[in-house]
Amino acid sequence: MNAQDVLNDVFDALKNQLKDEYSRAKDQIDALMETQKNRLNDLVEKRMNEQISQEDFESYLEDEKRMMVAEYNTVSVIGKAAAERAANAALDVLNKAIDKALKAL
Amino acid sequence: MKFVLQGHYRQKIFFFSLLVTFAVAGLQSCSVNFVPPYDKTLSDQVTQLMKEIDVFYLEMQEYNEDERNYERFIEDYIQIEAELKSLYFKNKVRPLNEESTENCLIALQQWQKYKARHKARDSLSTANIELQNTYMHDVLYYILVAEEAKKDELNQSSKKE
Repeated sequence: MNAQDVLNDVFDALKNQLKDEYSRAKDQIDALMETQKNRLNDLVEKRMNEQISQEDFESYLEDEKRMMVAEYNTVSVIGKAAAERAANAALDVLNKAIDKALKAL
Repeated sequence: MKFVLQGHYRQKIFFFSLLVTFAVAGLQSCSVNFVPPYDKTLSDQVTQLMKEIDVFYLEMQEYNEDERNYERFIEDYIQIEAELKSLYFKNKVRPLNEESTENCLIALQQWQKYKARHKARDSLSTANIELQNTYMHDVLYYILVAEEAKKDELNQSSKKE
């Protein structure tokens, strides 16, 4: 096993892990978007049916801005956690490959 | 002369081996961290808060609108606000945790805003109860999803083995 083989294994590990992470993150982000869609739907419906005043409607729209910040923060954590797992999986492969190569000497 | 060269060669091998040993030792302890480790107690606290807030608003809905005076619910408002503050500070002291901390602050400020609205009006319509319940539920759900995303199944299963 030469250095190129080791690096190929590392990049394969990184690629596979990122593929898994992408599918996991996509499901989580889809679920977040769904909550936002349902919430806005409910808000608009309640205003259209005059169940809430214009003042309250505008107040909830202010809340909605903060909810978007919270949603963005959550997506950011999902991304960072995925990147952390992928990087550590690649480092693990590199570590094992070097260990194996050294034992073979 | 021959002896000196061999010694020099041995010295080089020794230093090279030392370098490789340090490099491998370094790699073995090397892992990157972009987020704090998953904390189950925090996840449980968020789930419990979601339930408490849901119960709070469902109970409020059981009263007629003219019976939903602020005084009737003040104890629960204070209890839940204290728990939201505790969640905020627990998140704030963790390193690499800016996003979750900001989300906890948003949840706390949202709760304080809804409490102030109820206090000012001394009542709350059913539509407002439903919307406030949804907004509180969703912001806590975002906090929960962020905490659960920090789980590392691979490392957790390897720790069990």
